[in-house]
Amino acid sequence: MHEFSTVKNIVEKVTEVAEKEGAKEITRLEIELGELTLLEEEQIRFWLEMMLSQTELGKSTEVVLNRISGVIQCNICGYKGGLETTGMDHYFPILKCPKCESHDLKVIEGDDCIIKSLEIED
Amino acid sequence: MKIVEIEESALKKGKELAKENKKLLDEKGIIAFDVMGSVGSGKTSLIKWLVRKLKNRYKIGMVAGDLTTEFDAKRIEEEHIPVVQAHTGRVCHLDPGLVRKAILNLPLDNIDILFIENVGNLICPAAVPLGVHKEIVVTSVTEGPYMIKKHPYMFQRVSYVAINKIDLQEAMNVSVEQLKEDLKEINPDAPIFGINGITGEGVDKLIQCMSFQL
Repeated sequence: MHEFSTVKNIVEKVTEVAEKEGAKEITRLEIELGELTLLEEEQIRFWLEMMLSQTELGKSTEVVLNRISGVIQCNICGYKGGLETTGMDHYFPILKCPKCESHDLKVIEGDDCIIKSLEIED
Repeated sequence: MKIVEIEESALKKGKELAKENKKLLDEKGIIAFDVMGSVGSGKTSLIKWLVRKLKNRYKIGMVAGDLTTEFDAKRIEEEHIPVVQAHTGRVCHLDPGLVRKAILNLPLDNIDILFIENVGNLICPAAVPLGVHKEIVVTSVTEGPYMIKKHPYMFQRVSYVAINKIDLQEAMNVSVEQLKEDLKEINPDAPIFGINGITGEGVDKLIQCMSFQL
């Protein structure tokens, strides 16, 4: 859905960092993709590979996408862990404590897209 | 060969902009609502009723978000409150940067309540926080019976839900009570009201619920 603009941010950041490091090439890029973002993995990969291939340094970058599961902490019963999808026949997890069914939660992990690291040839 | 650690969020920019908007609104003592919903669900109608009913007690401003037209802004301008139109071009949702530009064109020192009408869309606006205090989503019986079931990401995060066009529920064979049940399953804390955007029926109940915010 906003894969394009997210990837634009990623490519801008990594080319800025790689240029600062005097890199000749970005050989590998590692991204963490949280399941609670609305970002679709295949589209992120598609746009990343496409946009990187149009840069000087990213023509043969290996893109590594790690999927991060959502982890919540329940403010009512203290449960800390993953979420369940409901039987509503969709893939997005419902933000509800699997233990006590409260909706009073804190999201600990899985709601972000993190640019982890670059591997460069300098 | 060298590894460079970055550890930075690709979503940082948007989150920071939303934070800055909230900070500005708080500094000015303004409570802001993001009003979302499908195309034609009745967002503008609801806002028009809210403005009509609240403008004698509170100073209200509005940001109307749309692709390229000004229909919604003009409808609210008829209520003689300050309105700024934000155009997203071909983008399907408002973003915090665009909203900031818009609110800076409002007389912020003279506003208590700000309504921001998002672009008609039940998907993307849910993923792009604008920096408001509360989110309202308007759905309508003419969208069929599955809107809440199909869009849990939107409906589970909002503060208030309005089901519009309740006068048409029989004609549409859509149960407002079932929609309320669907919401309870994913967001039991959000008050949900049936409204009629033409007559204003149900809007007073919503205002009553919102009043602790105002």
